[in-house]
Amino acid sequence: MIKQEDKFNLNNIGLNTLSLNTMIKSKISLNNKDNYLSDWINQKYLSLNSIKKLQLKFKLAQPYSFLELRNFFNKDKIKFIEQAILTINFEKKETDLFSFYQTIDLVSVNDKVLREFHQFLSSNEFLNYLHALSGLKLKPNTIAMSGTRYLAKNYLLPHDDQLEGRALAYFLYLSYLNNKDGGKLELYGKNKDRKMAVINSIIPRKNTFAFFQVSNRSFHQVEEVVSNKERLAISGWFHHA
Amino acid sequence: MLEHNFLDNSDINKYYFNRSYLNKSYLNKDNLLKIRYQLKINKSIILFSILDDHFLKLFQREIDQLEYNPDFKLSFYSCKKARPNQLITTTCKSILKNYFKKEIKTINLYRFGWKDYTILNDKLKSPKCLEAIFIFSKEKWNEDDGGNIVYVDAKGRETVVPITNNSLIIKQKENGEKRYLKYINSGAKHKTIFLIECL
Repeated sequence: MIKQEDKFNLNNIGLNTLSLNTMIKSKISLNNKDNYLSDWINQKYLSLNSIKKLQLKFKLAQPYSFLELRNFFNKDKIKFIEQAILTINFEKKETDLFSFYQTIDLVSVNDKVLREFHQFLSSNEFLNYLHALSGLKLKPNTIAMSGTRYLAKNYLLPHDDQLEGRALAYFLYLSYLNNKDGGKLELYGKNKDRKMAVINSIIPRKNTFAFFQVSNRSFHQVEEVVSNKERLAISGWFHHA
Repeated sequence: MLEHNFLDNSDINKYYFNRSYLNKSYLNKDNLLKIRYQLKINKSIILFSILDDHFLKLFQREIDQLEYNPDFKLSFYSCKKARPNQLITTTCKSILKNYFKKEIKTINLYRFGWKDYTILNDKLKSPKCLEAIFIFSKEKWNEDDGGNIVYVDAKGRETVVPITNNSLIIKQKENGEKRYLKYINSGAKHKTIFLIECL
C-alpha cells in the first residue's frame, strides 16, 4: 500500500520518469477532486499506480506504441459530447484512400460543449498527463480535432499519418461496434513471417479513448463497416512541443 | 516521341487482325481508322465488347483457371496476381498491334475482389507512358460497389471508368497522371474483376 506522502517519492515506487516529475512540478494533485483532470477523466486512470502501468503498456505495445483506455471520460461528459457532435454537419469525403463523413475542424464550431472539450484536450493539465503516459512533450493549444462518421461500406485504407509535427493520433469513440460489424482500427506491423499484417486492433466502444505514437511505422487503417451500425468518433492529433 | 506511338492513317495497311479474337465491328477498316484518329486526338479511348463472344468464353475460362497469389504492398495495393499464359499474352499483343507502333513489353494479370484496391501513393512514379487495360468481369457493377478505375491528372482532376466486362482502355498517360482502382466494398462481396495491364 503506497502512503499518501510516498506517492510523490519516485524512489519508493520505483519510477524514474521525467514526466511524473513534470506533473509534480506543475503541482497537479491527482487526488484533488476539484482538479481539472478529475472533472473529465475516470478516477481509475489518475492514480500513480495506474499511470505507471499505462506508461509501460504504451512503451511495450505492438506493433508500435499505443493505448486503448476504456470508459475514459466521466459519463456525463461523454453524454454531452455525443449529443453535441450529432448537431454538427458531416460531409462525405471520398478519395482513393477513404470513404467516410467528416466535420470541419471542431476548433471553429460555436458549440459550447465541443469548445470546452477542445479546451480540455489542449490544456497543459491534459498534455502533462499524456506526457506522463507517452513520454512525449506536446504542444499546447494546437490540437487538431474533427468528428468522423463511418456508415456501411465506409473505410479508411492503410497509411501512417505522418506529417510534420504530429506526435500522437487520438480517437474518442462514441458508438459501440462488435467484431462482426467491422470498423476496427487496425494497426499494421511485421508478423512472424516478416510480412506486413494487422498485428493489433481496437474495436470501437463508446467512451474509449485511444492514441498511438505517429512515426514512419505507424501504419493503420479503419476496417470497412459491414453492418448498418454507425461508427461515430472524434479524432485528431497532438503535436510535438 | 510518344505522340507517334499510335498507328495513323498512313499506316492503314499495317493491321494485324486476328479474326478469331476480335468483335466483328473492330474488323471494319473504317472503324479502325476512327479509333486511330480518336487516339491521336484524345490520347485515350475505351473499346467495349472487344473480344468476339465465342472467344470471350474461352478467354474468360483461361483467366479463371490460372493460379492467383495474394499480392499486397502496404499503402500501395491489395490484389491477387497470376502469370498470364501464352493465349492471354498472344491475344493482348495481337489486338494492340492494331493501335500501337511499339510492341507491348509487359503484361500483368490481376484479380480484384472484396477488400482489394490500389492507392495513389506519393512514392509512385508517374512518368508519361502508354498503357492498355483489358477488363473482364462476369458480374454487373454498381458505382457504389467500388472497383472503378480512376485516372487522376497532375491537377487532381479525376476521370472515372466504370467496370464493364470485355472492354479495353487505351490511354497515353501524361506526366504526373496516375491511376487507381477504388476499394471494392462488401456490396461487391461475390464479384471479381480481372485486369490485364499492358505496358
